[in-house]
Amino acid sequence: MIEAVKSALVANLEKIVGSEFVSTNPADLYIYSYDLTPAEPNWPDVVVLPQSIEELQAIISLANKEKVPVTPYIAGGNVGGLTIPLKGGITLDLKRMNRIIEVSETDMYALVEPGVTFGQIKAYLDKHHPTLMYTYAFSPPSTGVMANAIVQGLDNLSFRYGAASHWVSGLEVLLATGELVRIGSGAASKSWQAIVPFPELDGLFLGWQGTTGVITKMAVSLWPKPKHSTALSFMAMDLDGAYAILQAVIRTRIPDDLIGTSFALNKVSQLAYEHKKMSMYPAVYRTQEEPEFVITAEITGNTENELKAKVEAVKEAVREKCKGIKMMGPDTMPSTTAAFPMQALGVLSSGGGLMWVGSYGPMSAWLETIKKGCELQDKYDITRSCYTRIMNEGHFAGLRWMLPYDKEDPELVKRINDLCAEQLDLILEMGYMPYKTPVWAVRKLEERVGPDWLKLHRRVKEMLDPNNIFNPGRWGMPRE
Amino acid sequence: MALEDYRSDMEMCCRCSICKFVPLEKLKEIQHSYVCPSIARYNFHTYAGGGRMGMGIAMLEKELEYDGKLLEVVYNCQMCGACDISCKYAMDMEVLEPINEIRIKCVEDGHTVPALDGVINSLRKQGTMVPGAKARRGEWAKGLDVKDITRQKAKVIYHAGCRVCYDEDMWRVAKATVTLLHKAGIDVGIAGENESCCGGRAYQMGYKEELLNQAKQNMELIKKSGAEILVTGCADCYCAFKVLYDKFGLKDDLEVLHTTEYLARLIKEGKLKPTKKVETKVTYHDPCHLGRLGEPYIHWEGKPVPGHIRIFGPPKEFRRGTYGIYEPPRDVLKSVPGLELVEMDRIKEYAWCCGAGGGVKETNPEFARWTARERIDEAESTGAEAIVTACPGCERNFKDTIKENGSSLKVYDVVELLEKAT
Repeated sequence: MIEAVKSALVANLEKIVGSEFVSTNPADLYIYSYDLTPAEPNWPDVVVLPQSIEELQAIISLANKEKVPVTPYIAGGNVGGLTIPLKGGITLDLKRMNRIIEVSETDMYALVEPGVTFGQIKAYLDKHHPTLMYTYAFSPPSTGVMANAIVQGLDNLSFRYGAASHWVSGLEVLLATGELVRIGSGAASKSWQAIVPFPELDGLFLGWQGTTGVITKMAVSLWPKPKHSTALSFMAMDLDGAYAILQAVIRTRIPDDLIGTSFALNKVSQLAYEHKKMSMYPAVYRTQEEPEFVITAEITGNTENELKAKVEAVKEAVREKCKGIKMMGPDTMPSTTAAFPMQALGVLSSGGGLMWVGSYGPMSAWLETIKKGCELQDKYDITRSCYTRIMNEGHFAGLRWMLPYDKEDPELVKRINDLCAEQLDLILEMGYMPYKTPVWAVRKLEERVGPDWLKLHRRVKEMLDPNNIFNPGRWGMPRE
Repeated sequence: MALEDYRSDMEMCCRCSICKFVPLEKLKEIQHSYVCPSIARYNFHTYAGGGRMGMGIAMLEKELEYDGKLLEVVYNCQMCGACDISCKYAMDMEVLEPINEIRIKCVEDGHTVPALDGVINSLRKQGTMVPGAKARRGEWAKGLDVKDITRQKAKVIYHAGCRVCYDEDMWRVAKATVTLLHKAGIDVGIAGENESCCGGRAYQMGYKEELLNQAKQNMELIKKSGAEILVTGCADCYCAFKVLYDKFGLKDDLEVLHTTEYLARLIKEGKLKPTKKVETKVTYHDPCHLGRLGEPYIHWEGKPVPGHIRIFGPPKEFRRGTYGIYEPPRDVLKSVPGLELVEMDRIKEYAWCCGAGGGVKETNPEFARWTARERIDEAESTGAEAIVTACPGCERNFKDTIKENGSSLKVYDVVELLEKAT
């Protein structure tokens, strides 16, 4: 950005939020220029921290008038380079907008601002609404509730309710023009309990990675908190067996959460609970006696009897439908329904780098995709590290291969990048779609979608963001 | 060790932001979810532990140049270690050590801030971190009939610390300590005019050489005296003598106890019997350098195993704040008849800092007061009549803040309440 333009911009931003909340200090900007993935770094020109809607409106109006890029940012735990300002400009750090505005005990929703984290909403509900819960993401509790929903994240209730964007019952969005729009029941009433029989405009903002507007409020569904919980695990000796077990459990419709992990990844995580480390390098291959895949079903009940009956029903279903399949278990373990196991983070980000090709796709292609994805890991001599979460009672699945790596090892970084490129081609071929899509994967997707989809997509982006100020260079970017 | 030696720790940061908050499992109230005053006050991510890790890397890579803005970030941190302990709830990496090394690097490269230069000059010239101190160091002990360990032998040496010696209001804490030790029949002495600064706060500010000089000087005096136990009521001094001197191989076999540890022991042994009622409801503030940063230093020499991701040979044991001094001050308070102890939301390893540490009270008193105000509000929300602490630095900052901003909350040292009851 030209220095004179930048000075004028900064002066105006300081007028809006006060100089304390605007920075061009390189020491402040640097940290906003990268994330833990290999995404190419890029510096913002200025970081600004608004607290009110009025301030935010003034910032966006200014940016739109001056055609300055704006990249929204919340907690900092970003992946896929989603908040790296590809075109510089303003990084809009929304952490000061962190109010839980309303919790409706009866209608079971919470209305939150962008800065509210999973940890904060849990603490708030535990204290003030102990019979309700939200969920937790597959990430630390410092993750933003809103960010997780915008990127269609998977959570610990996703088997029951689907991706986090499905739980959004209303939005308030700031458009590039400075207009503030409410979507959902909140558009026409005081209550935010549901998406109502209007055109579902939330789709103009969810999944767009902040490229169409700034979401300033979000209503999310809350759920009754059961008193009893347990985890039931099955260890399959091969992936065919794992698929059969998953299908058996899916059809019971019983669990709250149904996940599966490669055995090696599971072993690493179990050790991590004791603050012990097991390296995934050089590649760890399972012995013949060891299982291939660990499936865990989180089960809850209002009473001990209900819980017991549910556990028995799941066991029974697996017994019935998986006759002749070699497996270990089932074992019951304490449930992890309370929070993301932070200990796993010590393993997953141990070398400072973490990469994965994350995707959603059909259960019908799950087995073939996972087999081929794991074989690719073998090809690159990388420990099998598949992680899958069954979504929305088995209507689709989240699938990824977790790839922790040492940022300082260039050979390994290259190997990881090459593996990811091949895995991306694989999943696309199999009908799986990458989520939290980094730019390079967006471009690949754009090659696959129909040309009319692309035209529509770009038309929507242009209509909502004519000056292309919102997180430019990602979804809806005009072809250069 | 130098900043470069912590490169892999800094690179390990995955920017999860847990360094900003009380770990979820320990979080009791949304309004008390932040554990790091610096990020809570300044908001820009750089001010968090994770941000400082990124900054450290950028400094090594010379992507950031020294300027006033960089130093603003570096020195607006109380070095309270909350980020380090929250991070280590999950991770095996050092956070506070590299943050301290960033400061040491700034000092070594000649990039300091005037307010701290003044304090350090005072240390170099007068052996105290209190510039312009008028009172004589040992004056607080006048009329106490306490041994002078430079002339008389004593088993226990009581180190009062700069903040007590040069703050008349704090003299009562030192006097009460010696009185209680005498009551318990302890053979205690002081160095009086010959006492010198522990050097701990200088180290927090980045002046490593000054710490080492003070440590050598102090240990020489203590060795000469023949004292076996050093007792101090200052959390910074406690951390310096117990942890930092040990870290740099200068502690020898000196037993270092905080007054609350020693008094709790004496109560348990029946040598002190609190019998008088002190009817009040109090909450206890864990000083950072007594609590999470007060746990023993763990010596380790090893290196990453080649080809692995951050696995060490031999395995490295991390200091996670677990073995800090949390129960002794609480035990002393609980021994006081009529006293009711209520807890705040952020306690022990995850206590919110008083705001005075890391040179912040000297460089940015407004930030020091802001941080204290947060703690005072938290204390008030418990319904307590007083906030009790075990460090003169915390006590002074709370008192200054209350004087300026108002509160009906009283501020005590644990020792004062025990003395009232004994």
